[in-house]
Amino acid sequence: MEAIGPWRQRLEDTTYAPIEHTSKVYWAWLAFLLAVISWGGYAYYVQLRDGLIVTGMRDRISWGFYISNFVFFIGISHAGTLISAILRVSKAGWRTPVTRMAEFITVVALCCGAIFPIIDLGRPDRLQNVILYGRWQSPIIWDVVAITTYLTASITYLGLPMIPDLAIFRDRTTGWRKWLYSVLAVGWIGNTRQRSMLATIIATMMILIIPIAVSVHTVVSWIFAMNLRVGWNSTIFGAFFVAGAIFSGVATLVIVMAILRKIYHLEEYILEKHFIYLGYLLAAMALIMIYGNLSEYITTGYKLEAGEEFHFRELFLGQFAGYYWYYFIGGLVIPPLLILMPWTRNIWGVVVAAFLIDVAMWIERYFIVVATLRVPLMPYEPRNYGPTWVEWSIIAASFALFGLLITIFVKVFPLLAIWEITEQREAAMESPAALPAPATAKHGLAIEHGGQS
Amino acid sequence: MRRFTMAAAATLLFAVAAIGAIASSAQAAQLEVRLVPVAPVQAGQPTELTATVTDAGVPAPGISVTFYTTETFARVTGDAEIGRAVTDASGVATVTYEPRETGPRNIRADATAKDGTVTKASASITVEGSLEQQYVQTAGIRIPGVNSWLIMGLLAVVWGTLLFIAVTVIRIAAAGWADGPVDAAPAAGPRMDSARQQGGGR
Repeated sequence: MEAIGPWRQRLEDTTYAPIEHTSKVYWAWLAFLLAVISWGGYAYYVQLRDGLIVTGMRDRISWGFYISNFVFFIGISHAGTLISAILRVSKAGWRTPVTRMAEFITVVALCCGAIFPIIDLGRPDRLQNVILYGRWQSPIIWDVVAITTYLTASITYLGLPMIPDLAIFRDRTTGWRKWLYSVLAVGWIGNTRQRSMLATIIATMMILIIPIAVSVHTVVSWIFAMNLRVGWNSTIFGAFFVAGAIFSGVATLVIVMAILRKIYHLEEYILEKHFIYLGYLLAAMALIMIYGNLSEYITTGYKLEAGEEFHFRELFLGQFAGYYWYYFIGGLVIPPLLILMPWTRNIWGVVVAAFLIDVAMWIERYFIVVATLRVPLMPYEPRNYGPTWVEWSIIAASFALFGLLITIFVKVFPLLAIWEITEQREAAMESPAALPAPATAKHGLAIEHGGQS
Repeated sequence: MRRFTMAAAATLLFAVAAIGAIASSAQAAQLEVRLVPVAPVQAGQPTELTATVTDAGVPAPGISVTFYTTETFARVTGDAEIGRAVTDASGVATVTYEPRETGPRNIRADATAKDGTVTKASASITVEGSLEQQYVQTAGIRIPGVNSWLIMGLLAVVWGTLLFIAVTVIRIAAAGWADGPVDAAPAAGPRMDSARQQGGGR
């Protein structure tokens, strides 16, 4: 095995490379993202100027793309919590190269998602009323408090393990970057007291953030489930939403990992086995989601009250049938098959599965919101909802913002957790029995505890 | 003769129409509405708005009276209906009003006569009190010491922990400064106890 010194140097160089070198493609990509965001900004200006009449939302179907997108982004924010905190708590050694990306996806997704209820308000100045006149008994207030707390905790959880890596960058840079990393590294020199204190607060955070994350998506589900409405009046919505959030969060992590691995040449650290392990998680979550669907719809369908019958017809046979069956077959059945079948159990197979899952989970949020609101509460003709160019533009801008924040992040912050990966490597060297199988092994299925290949 | 007859008929018709118009306007003018003055009221407290309706000075029973106030919502100002009541034998109509906003309020009472004629009267009242939340939920299960306080207690624990972490980060920075300037740090990167990898580092 290669000596730790040169190996670590190469790891630092690989992690620092995105900061040192900026290609023309990077600037072109940045310009493209900014153009999409600007167009979305213009669409939002039109909405502010003319009111929500420029959207497809009306009094009967008063939530649409915006709230669907809000739930989707809050969902994928669970990537960081699951991969980082749960795998840390469970001492899963293979997690180290993917934790940083997972934690950052959490923060970025929360920032992107949290703006959508404000956009959906139509009058953003009314947000102050939530603070001035909010009531603790309202799920809206629970949502605001939970998301604010989760965002604060996620930023903290992203920043704490980054401190030692920022100190490495501080020691390598000059000029404004050195100043920036000096501030962010909070005087880290790695002495015993600092290490002890940092270890304590990281351990505290990894325990604290798990219930916070679970509570966030539970509360998001209660925005719907606390209503006496067909389709939302469910007791399993909290668990169902948390499972769906982890599902889409891991899928997003797989996609982001694949892209960054390719662009920044991280093949030595992010191995095929990481994709496959995450693929196994996706397959397990897909089975849980299938179970959740069956449990929810069979119990409701067996009783089949009048409103439920309309909802079921719309969902399974009517206007939303295409969406639902894509979600069920394309998002819950095919992906685990892709992951579990030997000939597609590879990076591409898992990435394709993850893409199918993310599309399916966005669609699921859409029909949870819109198909339910289409059920008439009084004797009137069911109304339709169709997003306008304003909504499409703002949704596109949100995904561009997601891409932009990640693009900027990799140019400023260490993409890999250098010290964690190094410690993992050192631990593996000290106990050769725990050394992993060669990285080139087909499908990388040797399950090892610790160490990078 | 024929011309004379036609002129007389036209004159007669005109006279009848004029008398009718004068009579009807006189009848409409006889219905009178008066809003009983109200002393300053407290926001959130119910108060009674009373209108008396008379017809030629005589109390008019069975007249529908609609009470309005002026409201502004989403930059649109207009009449918001407070309620409706029918006058009793004394010509008195009363509705209960619970103002939710402080300051002067315009109140209007519209009395609709049997023939559809509407007679209006306006008055101003002053609403006093604070701008605090007026609506108090009475439905639902109430467990003393739980409900909202449970949420606040949980939040206090979480945010207290985050505060502890923020303070510890400051202590980490102080520990670094105490051991010398950052520039004097070894070139090699920091390394944490492997105990952290083993599940906590405590």
